[in-house]
Amino acid sequence: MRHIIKPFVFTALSFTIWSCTSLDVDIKSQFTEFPDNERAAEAISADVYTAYRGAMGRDHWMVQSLSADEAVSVSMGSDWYDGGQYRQFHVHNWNADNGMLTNMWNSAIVGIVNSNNVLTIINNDEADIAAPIRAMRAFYHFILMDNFGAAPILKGRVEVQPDRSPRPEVCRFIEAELLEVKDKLPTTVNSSTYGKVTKYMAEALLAKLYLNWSVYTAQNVEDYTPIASNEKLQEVVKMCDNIIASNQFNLTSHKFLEKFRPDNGPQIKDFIFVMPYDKESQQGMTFARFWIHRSAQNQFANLPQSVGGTFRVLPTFLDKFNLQGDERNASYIGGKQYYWSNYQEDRTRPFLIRTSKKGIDQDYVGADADTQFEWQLDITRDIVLRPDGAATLNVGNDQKGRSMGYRSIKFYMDVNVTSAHQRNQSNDVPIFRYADILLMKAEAILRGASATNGETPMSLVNQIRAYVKAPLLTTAPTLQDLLDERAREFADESWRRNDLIRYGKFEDKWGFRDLYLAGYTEKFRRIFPVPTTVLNLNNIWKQNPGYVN
Amino acid sequence: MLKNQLNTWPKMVLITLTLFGTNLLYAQQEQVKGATQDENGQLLSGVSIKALHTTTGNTFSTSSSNNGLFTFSNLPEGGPYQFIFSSVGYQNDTLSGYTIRNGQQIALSVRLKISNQNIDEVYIGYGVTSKKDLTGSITSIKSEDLNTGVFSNVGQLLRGKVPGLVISNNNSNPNATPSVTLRGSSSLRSGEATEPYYVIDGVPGASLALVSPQDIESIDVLRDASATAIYGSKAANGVIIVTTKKGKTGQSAINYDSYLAVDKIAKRLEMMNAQQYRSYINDNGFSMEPVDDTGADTDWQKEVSRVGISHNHNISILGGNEKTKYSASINTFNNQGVINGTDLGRQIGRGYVQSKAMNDKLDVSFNVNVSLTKQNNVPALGQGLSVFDAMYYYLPYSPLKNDDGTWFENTPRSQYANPVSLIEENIILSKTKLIQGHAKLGYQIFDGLKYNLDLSLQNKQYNFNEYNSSLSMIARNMNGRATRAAVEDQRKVLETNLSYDKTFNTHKISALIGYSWEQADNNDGIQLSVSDFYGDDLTYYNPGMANVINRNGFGGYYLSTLRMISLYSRLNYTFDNKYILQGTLRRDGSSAFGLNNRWGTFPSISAAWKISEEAFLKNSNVINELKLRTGYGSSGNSLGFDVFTARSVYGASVTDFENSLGQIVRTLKALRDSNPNLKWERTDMLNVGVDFSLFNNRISGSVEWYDKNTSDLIYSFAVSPVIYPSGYLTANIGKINNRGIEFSVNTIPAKTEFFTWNSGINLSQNKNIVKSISNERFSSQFIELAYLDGAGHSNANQQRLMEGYAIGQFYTWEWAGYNEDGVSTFYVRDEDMGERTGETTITPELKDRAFTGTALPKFTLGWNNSFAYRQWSATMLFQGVFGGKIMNGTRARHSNVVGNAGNKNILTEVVNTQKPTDINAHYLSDRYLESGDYLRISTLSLGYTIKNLGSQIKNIRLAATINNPYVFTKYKGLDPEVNLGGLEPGIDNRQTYPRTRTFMFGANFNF
Repeated sequence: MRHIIKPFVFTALSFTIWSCTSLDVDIKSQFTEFPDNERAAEAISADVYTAYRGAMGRDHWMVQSLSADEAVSVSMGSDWYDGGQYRQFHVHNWNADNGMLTNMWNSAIVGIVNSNNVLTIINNDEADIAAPIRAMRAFYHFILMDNFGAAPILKGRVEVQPDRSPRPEVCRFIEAELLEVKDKLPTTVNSSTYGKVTKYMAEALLAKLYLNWSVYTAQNVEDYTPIASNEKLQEVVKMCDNIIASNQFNLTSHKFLEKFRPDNGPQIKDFIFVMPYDKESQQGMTFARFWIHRSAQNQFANLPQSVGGTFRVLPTFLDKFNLQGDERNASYIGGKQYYWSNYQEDRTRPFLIRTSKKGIDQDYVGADADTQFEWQLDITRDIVLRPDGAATLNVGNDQKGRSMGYRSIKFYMDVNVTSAHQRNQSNDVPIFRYADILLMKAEAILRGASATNGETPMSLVNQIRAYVKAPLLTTAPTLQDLLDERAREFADESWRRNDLIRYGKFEDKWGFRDLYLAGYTEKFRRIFPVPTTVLNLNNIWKQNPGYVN
Repeated sequence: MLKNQLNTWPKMVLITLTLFGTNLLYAQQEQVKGATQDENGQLLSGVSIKALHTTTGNTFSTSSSNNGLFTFSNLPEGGPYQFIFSSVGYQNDTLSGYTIRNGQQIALSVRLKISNQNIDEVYIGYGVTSKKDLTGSITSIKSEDLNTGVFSNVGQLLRGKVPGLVISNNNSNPNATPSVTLRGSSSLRSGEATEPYYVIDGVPGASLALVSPQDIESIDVLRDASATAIYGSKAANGVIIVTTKKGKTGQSAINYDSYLAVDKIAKRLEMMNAQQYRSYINDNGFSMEPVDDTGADTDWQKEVSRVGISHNHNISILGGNEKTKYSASINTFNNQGVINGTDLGRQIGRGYVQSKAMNDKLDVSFNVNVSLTKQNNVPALGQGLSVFDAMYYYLPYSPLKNDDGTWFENTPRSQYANPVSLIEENIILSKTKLIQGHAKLGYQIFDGLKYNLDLSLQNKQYNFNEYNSSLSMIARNMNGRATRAAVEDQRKVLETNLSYDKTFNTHKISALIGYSWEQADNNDGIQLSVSDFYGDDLTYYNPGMANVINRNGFGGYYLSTLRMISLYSRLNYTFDNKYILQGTLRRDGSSAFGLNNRWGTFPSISAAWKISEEAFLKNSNVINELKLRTGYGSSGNSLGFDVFTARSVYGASVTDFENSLGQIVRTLKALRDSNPNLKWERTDMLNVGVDFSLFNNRISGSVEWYDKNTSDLIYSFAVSPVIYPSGYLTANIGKINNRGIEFSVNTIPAKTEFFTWNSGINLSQNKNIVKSISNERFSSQFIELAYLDGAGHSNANQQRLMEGYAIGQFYTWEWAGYNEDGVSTFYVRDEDMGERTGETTITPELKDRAFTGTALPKFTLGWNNSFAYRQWSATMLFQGVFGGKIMNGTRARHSNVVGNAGNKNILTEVVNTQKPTDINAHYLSDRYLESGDYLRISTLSLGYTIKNLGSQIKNIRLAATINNPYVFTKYKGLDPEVNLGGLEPGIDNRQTYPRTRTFMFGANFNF
């Protein structure tokens, strides 16, 4: 027997030694390195463009609009107070814990990091294909700089925590980068460059940067006043002229409201740079969820998910839409409501809600309080908080409270949505429009730049007025006229905060700002605090002045 | 029967002859004849009888037959002979002084006593030892002591039986699995990473779904590091060894075991009925939406529930002779949940055969096990799209259906769906198929040295099918949506070792050295999600008829190949049966970890002193057994990883991109950053224990103290994307300490000829402290956890993981009563210092939160009683948890008087407990933090055994059991037993499947 034992044990042992100690296993199902080919390269650069998509479609838009005089997000009963994260922006007492700011910061940083990843793969910053990526990197630095002031300047992958560079330095970095890459960028404007960087995107961004130059380069944000001189005003005109001279853009390809519908796209000649959205494949845009009346989920189509209905335009802002015949007046709806179809109000079908007097006003105590009837939804202009509603901006959850404040239909809701789309819309959101170029040029000239090509602020504004069928100016506009024109033109397009700061009006009185009186003087709020979670992860950074941390 | 006996007899003799290679003459004469019985005189089969010729030392063996009889026919004449009787579960007995003479027949009769548990065998991992010789902390539960109930999970069998083992189950959903935590939470991860490691019949990591509770012989729970260290990196949460029933020598039995169980909801949430609701609205000035009030009065909890009928049938065959043993069983189990549409059905087939060859030196066994599980479920999504939420919140004055037969729905209302339509318009069915093959080989190289080889293969096929009809509220406007997934997991294990056991005089040595290799190829699968059908007729069966394919619906099934290789050894030395020293060493490698840290070494050392063996105690009448033992060891936690954990992974984000050609394409981004330094979580545990047995074994038990330090805890935490593009990194970051005392005593308070009462109590105390959540590179002051959502305060977390506090530390607002408007206020805290400012607010902010209690219990208690009176038996099990708090988010949500009035139902109690003016009534705060103390009568059982029915049936046992008859608690929710495992223990929030009370009737036939 013994003679078989040894070979047997030996075989068994050698079997075990053979399989022994290798821990290297195949990874078959995921990429552990970036795939290295041309087709993949475009996919990687795609991530540069999509980094801010989610933020732009919700948090960025809310922060820019709610902190300005455009709109307020109310709570209804106990719903939608959400720890005050919306109210904070309205009354100007936001703090570093506000999650919307975190999302903005992180998305912009990810945009920068993704840009640097692509640049590392390209391995030549001077190459033509590197130029759009560098421009996007500059754009994300602009987002950080505009909103948070000092920002890390990231020109490549880093191993250690970089410092935040002061705001003026970041501003100059953005300028230098854009100037350097501008002429290497594509000049084609068609569906292949839609939503991507072109030479004109860089020039538009430069124009925006130059117009706000004295805001961005102020030693301290609190020191800035609108009368501060701006050494770059002529550069604004120059950049705008380059874009105008390209003849690639116009205002008139589509009517005003057609430009913002779910089917918008490269056919809109007004668009210089956009964030494209698709309810299915490019998700993140959910404006309508917040604008549609809470009980009117089916007013435009049978929407699969409930709507919030928290956003209300402030009456003072609504009042700016007062020009006779101005197509932009239709950006907001109010009064008695009807069903809509095909972008049209159907006057034959009033929007009826079965309710009672008490359902409309919960404090109604008449004998007929509970008598049911069909009530035609009536949206009122004014927004009145409930007696105890100041703490939460509570307008009440009855029909009265739900119906206060006109609603924007500018980014008209996507009627073809299903549960799978989770409230996402397909409306592309413009970031730079030709209209903005014209109005920036007008403002620069009005602020002191030399006029060019025979264009005056009045002629420039009238180009806009003409296409929206508003009465033409007959006298030169004032700066206030320009600001109001911008209100009508760019409502819901996330520029209002930027405009108000430049005009020195960010500390003005509107809405329910009296609920936080200090907000009128806290000029440090011209930039937001660095979010707490960001500071926790980057512990060498200091909080912006004025904010607790 | 008789024929069978005649056939087997010559074989038995032949075996005996071959076995010992003797050249004895074949003799027909029955020299010795006898019967083996148990204490009560029941004839006992399968008792092995050894005849020892004391002068020559030759031995001859046989075993008792099915009717408990045995004979010897071939013993050499002379003597004196000793007859040694042994049987598993009984104490050995020896009869001596017999002489065999030609023509004279000796008649023997023996009554074997049931062995005291203390001398039972205990599985220690790669081996067996007797409980007396243990140096580590191991609890062994035999089949007859396992819990009875409608159980599909092994954890439920152990509830209340093992000190330090906390088993908690949120609810009685047949598809839910309880969380199992041993000696405190010691991981920052969740799921598998927090659970003990399971070894079934020597196969590490085998699936428990392969074993039906009726097939379990014993469960051994390895609790301290000196016991678990032999399993090295898998053992940080303890090891549970399951041993199934096998055939025994001389036995041949067929068992049929079955039960029928009736489940009823134990407690309902008292929500308002239509009339109560209407008057609440009217009395308090709220308004309702007329569309809801159709004059109906619907009890939604009743509409979605039923009496659950469950049944279980198990047939097993067990048998064997000296050479070959076999067992096979078929089990079918169906557990119907009390919520319509929830059930679990399982079939298990097991087959086992073992044979010996080469003069009994070679021992080979095969095992094939198959299990099929089918589970039906109902939607339990967020945003109100959950049956377990909707059954409470849906308005009572709304009807099931409209007059036209369609479901009543109020679609504009946020987070609101008819619970019955949620059940009826959605199919959620999963099927799991498990196949396991296991081959085992042992070869006795020479006396004491044995080579063992174990090969096992387990394959799991998981199929998921879902269909949301065109009327489903979870797939609106989609014209039907079907989702199908097929996923395969495969696991191969090779275990091989050499073991050596030898006794030289007073020295006893037991040594083991082994190697193990295992590879898991998990998560290999695909999902398809399609929508837009021409009608609901085809449900999920024909995805090809859909018009839309969801390109983000592939389900994230990525094959992950994980390999683990280990070398292990154990040395056990006993001197004079008094002093025991044991050391183990295991070296483990895993492909889950970073390239720099793939290997880890896990040692342990332990010692025991059997004081009662010392001369001064040996003859004590009081102390039968006293043993002091201590052990220190390290183990790791490598469970719950995939091959991607430590690596860079690049893939697509959910959102797509339109390329320059206008095509919608995938993006490519960094999904995960690599961490080449990722290493093992490590648990070091010191254990000191005393085992005792007093007063003629009437009182026995043990006391244990342990100190368990877990370091290098692994957590995926947010990092600056400036450096790490994905924004998250999985790294070793924390330290957790668990320290506790466990106390268990078994007593026999009464014992007479006909009546016995056994009573066992176990009490454990554990203190959990997070020591650190930082490392050299990363520091985090705290991690926010337990995000529970809730109207108006949806960004507030309720727990914080923080240094110096336990896992499950509640960090909430503090309720400060009402202001003059009747609105709940909360204490304001200073932003910098965190101190109370003395003010209160109705709009609390994140900074106003404070430490308000801990979720983890301080004490857990199990108290078992069993009574036997003649043929009657009864058991009574109490089980309790004390000292932890529960965040009753469910009560908070259903107390939202202002927000819900007119929109959603509320608790009946709000009339007394809430002010109708309180817009903050539902804010989660310490107001809804309730004591989680409870004492549950978890099982009452009564059994009757009919014995000696004749030759056809050996005996029949009938039993009636009630599970969960009563709970003593002040907790206001459905049930105080909430999940206590993982990182967010002690939460009761909205998704509340009811707890049931079960009435079970069982019968066991032994043929």
